[in-house]
Amino acid sequence: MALYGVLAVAESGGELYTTSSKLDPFVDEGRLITVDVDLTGEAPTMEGFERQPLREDDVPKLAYSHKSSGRGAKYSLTQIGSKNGNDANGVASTIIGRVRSWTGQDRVQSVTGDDGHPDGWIIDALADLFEKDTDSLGSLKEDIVSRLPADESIPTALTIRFRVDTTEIEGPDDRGIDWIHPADIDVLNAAMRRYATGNAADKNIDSGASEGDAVGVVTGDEEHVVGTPESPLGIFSVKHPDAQPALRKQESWRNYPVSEDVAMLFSKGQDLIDACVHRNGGIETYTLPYFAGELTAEKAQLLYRAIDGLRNPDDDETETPPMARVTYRLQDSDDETIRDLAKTELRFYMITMPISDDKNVIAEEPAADTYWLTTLADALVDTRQGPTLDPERGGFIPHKGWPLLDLPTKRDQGRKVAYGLITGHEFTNSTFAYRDEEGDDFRRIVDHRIIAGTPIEASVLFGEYLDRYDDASEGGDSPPVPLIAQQLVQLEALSRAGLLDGLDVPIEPDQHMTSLTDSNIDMTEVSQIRTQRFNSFLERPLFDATARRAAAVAGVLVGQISWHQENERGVGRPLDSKTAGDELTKNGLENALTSALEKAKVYAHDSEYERDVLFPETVDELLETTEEMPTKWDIDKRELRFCYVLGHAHGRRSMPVAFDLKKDDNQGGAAEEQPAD
Amino acid sequence: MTPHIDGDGVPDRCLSFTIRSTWGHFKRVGRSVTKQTYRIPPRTTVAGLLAAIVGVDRDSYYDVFQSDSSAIAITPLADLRTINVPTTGLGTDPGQDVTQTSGHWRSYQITYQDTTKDRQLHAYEVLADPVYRIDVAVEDTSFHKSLRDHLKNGTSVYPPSLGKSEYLATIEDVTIDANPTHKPNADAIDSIVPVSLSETVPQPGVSYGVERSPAIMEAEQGGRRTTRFDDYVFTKRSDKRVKVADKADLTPVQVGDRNVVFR
Repeated sequence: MALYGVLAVAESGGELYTTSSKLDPFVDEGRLITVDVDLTGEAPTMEGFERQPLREDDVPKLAYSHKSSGRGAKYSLTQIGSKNGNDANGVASTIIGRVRSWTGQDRVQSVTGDDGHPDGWIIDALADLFEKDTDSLGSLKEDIVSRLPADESIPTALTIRFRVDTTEIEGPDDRGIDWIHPADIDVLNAAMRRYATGNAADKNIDSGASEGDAVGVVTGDEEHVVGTPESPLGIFSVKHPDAQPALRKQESWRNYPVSEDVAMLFSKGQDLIDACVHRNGGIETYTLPYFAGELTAEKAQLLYRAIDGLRNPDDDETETPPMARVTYRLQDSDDETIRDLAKTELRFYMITMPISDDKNVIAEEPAADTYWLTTLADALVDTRQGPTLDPERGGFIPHKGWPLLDLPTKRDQGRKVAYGLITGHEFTNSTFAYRDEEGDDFRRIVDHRIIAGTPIEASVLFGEYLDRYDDASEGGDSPPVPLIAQQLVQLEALSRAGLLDGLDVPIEPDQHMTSLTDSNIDMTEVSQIRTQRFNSFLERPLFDATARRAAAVAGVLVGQISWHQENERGVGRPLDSKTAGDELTKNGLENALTSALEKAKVYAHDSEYERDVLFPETVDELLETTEEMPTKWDIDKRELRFCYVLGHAHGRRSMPVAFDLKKDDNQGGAAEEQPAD
Repeated sequence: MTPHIDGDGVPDRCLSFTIRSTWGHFKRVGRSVTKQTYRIPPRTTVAGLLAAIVGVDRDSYYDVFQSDSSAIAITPLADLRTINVPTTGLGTDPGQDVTQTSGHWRSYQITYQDTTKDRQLHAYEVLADPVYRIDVAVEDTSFHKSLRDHLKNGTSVYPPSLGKSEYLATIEDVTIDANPTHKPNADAIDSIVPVSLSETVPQPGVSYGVERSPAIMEAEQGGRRTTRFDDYVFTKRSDKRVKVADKADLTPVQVGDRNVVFR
């Protein structure tokens, strides 16, 4: 956080407290009133004032610190009037009044007294001089009114010049008794800092303030610290919803010691932090880029530009999350050192919270690198190009509009899109169960885990997939097949990336799986195509285990029979409408399977090809895999359901896809009309 | 024999033990709105834990754990995994949900929670099944002796817990008087390493975690304050080790079969 403040401050000219740019409208156009105060005598005296045009050269001497909110005194002793100008009376009353108001501020006063700043007496002297209705103040006012033009309004800055013994106070070079300006006087700057960061010490505290001397949590140095700094992400506040009766808010600096400078940096960095947020679905994720190595000027500049670039997205990247855009920007650089830096040193501070005043951190990762993201993005591209999404090798058909099935085939582009999907929540959103409660979205925790390289348990994924299956089932209809395909693609991509735990086998199929085109099958025969695809589909390590294989084959059969019922026999409620995958039990599957086997026999008469049973390859495979009925299968409930659902999704589409792939002799390869499913 | 700690912060002997619980929660400083946990118990927390075993008073043991008179190494033995656990609690806002007994003039006035009011939901981030190996040496003779005896006998004055009192911890595999041996060339460290991320060597497939937490405290008028915060790097999986660059100014030692860095 402080780093971002440093970047912001560096960009705006390196001033942490002083805001001289606010004086720009006054330079050359306005006048500078300098009131002379002599502190060398027995008692401080006011020595009149000087008036001159405000020049650029004067600005650094004034140490002006602007207070943008509220009216009245600015943070520095140097005060300004209205940008539109003040007349002589205005200067004498309003601006002089601000000096008095400044010396009277609690936070300014806190540098005086016994445990204050050693030069605190200067503030006391000022307060005495500018007290209401003193003679000296009265004569100063009269002087101002008489010497300034009465009816001309000119922008006015007013400062105070002190005649002091420079060897006795902190700040100026030792050069004996001389006139010096506020910028050189340590105690005035300290008072200005206290005032400017006042909120950081007394926010939400009814009386008193939380401040002390301690080691700063950011700097590690012993210094004056404040306990209620503005928190860039709103996650620190002494205003607890569950306030303890004995909570001593004034003591918060002990727990969270932040120096005034750092508190100021926090607030200055806010704009940059806001550039790095990605919001959707009631959730906001901040991904703040930084470099792990030592920060050099070049790196700081690079970082600033990358963050600044987030604020003005190109048209085609408005939807791309900040994390992805920063990464692309650095990785695609023409400069080799920058590409190298992106690879080795780029890290992200990630934090995800609901968009709400009631801050609750869902997940946080202080040092996410791009390794796992890149690995997973690659795995997703590999999966997209592999058998799982190749119908000729028993896979699913890639569908447009389904994020995980619709990646560009070119690797570079595909990887970029995949990277965007993962950082932009879509990777998990497209397969996980829907969530209502915004406060605690498990999908975001999974996003963080993936990016941080923490493997996900397969059983957790199966649970989510089946819940989503239920979410997506409308009125008893099975969810669309592409949803199941996306789930398999996700599972496989995680497995390829090494981010899947809890399964004894990998998900990714053997790359040498035979394709229809390089096998000796008759491409004009639907049943041959279907059989070949079915065999390829089962050629996955996942289905090596008997029970999983049996569950999948059972799913295929139920899917195939249901398709037949719906499309060949016009049955209104096919078999699978009574066998929802997410509610499947071993008993239920046993009933469904029994009925599917019966129907496969009965319906065989419908078919001009099959004499004995419909879909003989599936029935044979089932009987070869196991002779036991589902109630005897040794398999976890969620695994059973997921394998069944997967098989069902294949089975439901096995006829239509086969029709698609069939090459008609007469039409020379054109697909037949595809039956609706 | 009381341990002696050399100029590199390495003790000539130390006590080692494994501490585990089903849950852990080490609330992060600078987070008041949300209850998040450090992945590694802060050094000050370990000091408090040991003080609980020995049974010394609050605010009385900080001198024992100063940087030149104590050395602690922490090694996570299980994967660092957290989950968010929603808890319901009674509101304690004095303005809303708290009742006070009217009290007799001689009696104390008692403030207590009004249990008839609605509960508030708070999510706590907790560590699941945390296990740490702690190597510790203190030069304070009586503290050392007492801690040694308690660990040896499996006793404690106050029950040790990992963060919150309800996360009671068990202590196992105690080694009395382990001898740390210098391993100047060790570049792979099992324990957490008190360096910044820039002093580590990235390894493909290994994710480093970083934290900054209070390390040393002192008692002070009106309370206590932290006098040192430490940055440290660790791996989130217990079977991976942190690799450090040559430039890192560290003194790795071997305790048992682990490479650790004391701080």
